[in-house]
Amino acid sequence: MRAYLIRRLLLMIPTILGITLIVFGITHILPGGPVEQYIARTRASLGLQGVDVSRAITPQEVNNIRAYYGFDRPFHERYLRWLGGALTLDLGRSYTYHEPVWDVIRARFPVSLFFGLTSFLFAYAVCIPLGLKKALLHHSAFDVSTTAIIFAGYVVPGFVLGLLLIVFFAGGNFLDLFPIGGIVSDNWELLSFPGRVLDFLHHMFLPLVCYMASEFAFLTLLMKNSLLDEMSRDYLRTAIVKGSEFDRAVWRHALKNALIPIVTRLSEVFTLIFAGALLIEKVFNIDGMGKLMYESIMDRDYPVAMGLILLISLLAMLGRLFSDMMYVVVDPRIRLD
Amino acid sequence: MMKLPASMITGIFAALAILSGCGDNGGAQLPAIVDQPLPLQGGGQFDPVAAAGAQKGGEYRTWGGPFPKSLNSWLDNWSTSAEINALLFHQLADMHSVEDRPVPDLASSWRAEADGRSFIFEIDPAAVWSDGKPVTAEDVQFYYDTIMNPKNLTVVARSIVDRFERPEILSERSVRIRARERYWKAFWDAASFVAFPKHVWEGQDFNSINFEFPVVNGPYRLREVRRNRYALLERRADWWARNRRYNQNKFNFDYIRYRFMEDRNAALEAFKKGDYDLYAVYTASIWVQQTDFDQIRNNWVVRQTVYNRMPLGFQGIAINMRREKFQDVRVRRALTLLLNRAQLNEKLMFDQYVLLNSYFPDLYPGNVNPAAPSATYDPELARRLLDEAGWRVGPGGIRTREGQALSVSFLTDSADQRHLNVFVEDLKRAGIQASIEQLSKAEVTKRTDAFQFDLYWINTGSGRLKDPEPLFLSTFAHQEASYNLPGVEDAQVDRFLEDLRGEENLGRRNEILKRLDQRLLELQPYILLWQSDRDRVLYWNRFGMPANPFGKYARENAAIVYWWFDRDRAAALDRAQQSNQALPSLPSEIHYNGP
Repeated sequence: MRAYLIRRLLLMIPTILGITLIVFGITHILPGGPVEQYIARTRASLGLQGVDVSRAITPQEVNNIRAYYGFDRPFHERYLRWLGGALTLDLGRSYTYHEPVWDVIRARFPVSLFFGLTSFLFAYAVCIPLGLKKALLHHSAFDVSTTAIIFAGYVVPGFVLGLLLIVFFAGGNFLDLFPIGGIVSDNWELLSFPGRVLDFLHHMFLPLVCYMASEFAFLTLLMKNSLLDEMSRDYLRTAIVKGSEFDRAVWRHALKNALIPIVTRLSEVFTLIFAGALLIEKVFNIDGMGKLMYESIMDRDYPVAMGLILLISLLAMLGRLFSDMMYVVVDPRIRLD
Repeated sequence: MMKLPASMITGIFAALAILSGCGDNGGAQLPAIVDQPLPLQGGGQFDPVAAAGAQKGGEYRTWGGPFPKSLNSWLDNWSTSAEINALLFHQLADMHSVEDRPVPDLASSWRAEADGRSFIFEIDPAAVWSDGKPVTAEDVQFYYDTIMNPKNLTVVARSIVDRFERPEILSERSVRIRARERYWKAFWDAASFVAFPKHVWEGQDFNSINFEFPVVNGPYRLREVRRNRYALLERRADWWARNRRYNQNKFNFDYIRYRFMEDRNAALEAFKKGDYDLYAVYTASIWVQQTDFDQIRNNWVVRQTVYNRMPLGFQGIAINMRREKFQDVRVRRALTLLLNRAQLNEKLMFDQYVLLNSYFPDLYPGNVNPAAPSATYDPELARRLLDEAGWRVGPGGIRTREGQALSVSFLTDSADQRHLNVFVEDLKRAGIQASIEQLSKAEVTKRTDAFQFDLYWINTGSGRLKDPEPLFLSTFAHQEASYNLPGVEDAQVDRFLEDLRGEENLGRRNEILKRLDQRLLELQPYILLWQSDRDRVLYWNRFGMPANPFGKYARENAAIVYWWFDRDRAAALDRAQQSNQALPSLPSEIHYNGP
């Protein structure tokens, strides 16, 4: 087991190097990089002012811009410089925010962690019992009605649901129960600690509903189908034939096996700090990880994109490892040696 | 297990009850600004737009769009950043609000030297930074040095500043700014120089100055910025230029709060519940379809269209005249006649736009050139013109000439192709093979830079000082990435542009522009489209404002300068809301009526 762990941890090093090298390479090749984007933005501004572009964006200016973004150096030098920085936890400076990448990412941690952790806990607290109940009452009225509800949540895109919730529960037309966007009120800094917590929850309620809507369907049906699968197996019939009560047989034998696919998803706990959904964040004006990821790619803010990819890859791999360890706990038949 | 969802639902409702008790928290009570006594400054005129009797005080909350990456507009060319910086920093001189002449700003006087390219600005002796230090000529020179430093991402500002030599310090408060060559706009470009606080910023990395401006010289200071939430500006009690005549009854709000919200629809909902004071509607469908709500019916919110003489650019589809098939003006004219602008305006844009018949629409009353006919949809005439140009209908109903089919392709990066789709169908009916080529923004830029397109839609901006040279001068017709997209090469156009270059009088420049306009209409390098000639605003009925609320040339952002928080109106609004009563209605349209 220990040898397996060490092997897996060591394997992460070339994997991370491979991922970052490939992504860095892609950023080098992709058209419309930061230099081109800066020039395009500048050109648009100049155009609105009626300035002759050739006079403003001279070859010397282009060289200045390339130097600012570090594109005046060869690829390998840029990569090694970035890697050297990453090893000392210096992820460089954001091209668009003009501040350290680490600060840019860290500023989004609290809101993304809240999103991730809350939806994770809620999902597991509700979906596992719900999935179990649905499996046990398969084809019943309860099963059909709950399936209809969770599918409705699944098929309505989160941002559409967000807009609907805003109009009905946070707008000027119907109920005005919630703030319309953002994560805290203007006077948040002046509130007491409990006041701040309440204010934060008040703001996050609607986005959280949107964020969790699709997650619920997936996990509930995974649990239900997994249990149904186990309930149809011979060992369960044998247990019942031998005199075990149905409920007892399900609880003692089938449930443990049915939980194995659910355990796989536990690996996500490591990446919860990166939880976020671009469109929901846009609708609710939340400066979260989903928006940051999207914008860093669209704005060609490569230092931020590289920083996010590095951290997510690393945590995802640790999560996988954790998930594998959990298999052993849930299913003794599995051995990692 | 069945009890779990029920208990959860109960819990959620309990939480809702508690949370909704948190209230809106629309903003903490901010202290009123008490002005420090300053000596009165005589001389000069009052601003004719400002209203006598404006009151100081209150807070004005406006939508700032998405949170900017930087509030330093010299780095980040973003309109909100520019608006905020204009409240923090004076420029040397400004343009009069209704007349085409300069008015003092940071400089109290100026003079041009005999060479016509050097200007001496005398900084107002009263001008001080917010830390009490005097604003000096060195600060103006420091601005120049900062913008010109190649390490700084100030390319846009540099394109202007680079036309000047390094400012020469004549005395502590006197600075000479000399253009490298004589040109008509040199004075105005020099007047747009600002002063940077050298004693604070010297040695700092300008690229890192994004949200902190501790020392300013304008009417407001940046009190606080909360990422992705708001930027709060506070009126300066010690603003040195407050008692200048031209500044009377202006800059009235004690606080200005830019609330940032990415989604426009969500922002409108936020406005309805009172999170914003003013919301400008840029989308015709929203204006027509989504602004009939209770707050408007009760006149708590005023729904108003404001018409003035704000500078308008043109929107048009550039026809790439470098291509042989578009070199015949009859073909270009036929393309124009096949675009049913009136129908598009009616069906897709709710008749909210003015159909252009000019490249400089704001030069004419009502934004319509009286000397030019407006191109109307006329497929019959278009067919005749194409026939005359030799493009005859051949097999399959396609127009051909010398065995070549007449085809046009629209290059675009936009997902919204409703207008183009209608046009494409009309072109096809006339026998033209028409298609839309949708590419990424980067690809489109690459193609337009190299002039590899048939037709491309652009929307140009404009200002009171118009400089159409990059758009139409022959020199730029074959220069990669130039703005002369259609490739206009015309001796008459060049002559008009040459005349413009040498003419410093704005009135005479406008006359030349009108003649240039006429020539461009003959050439038809663009299929002229439409332009919004009005400001559509919604605002809570608690403000006082001048008779011309946005002045002669400005948009809704003029509210920050000229409006004020009217305590009586605000009290009446509160009473009306509490008793659910309607307020007296206000005019739904305001037309500029001033000098």
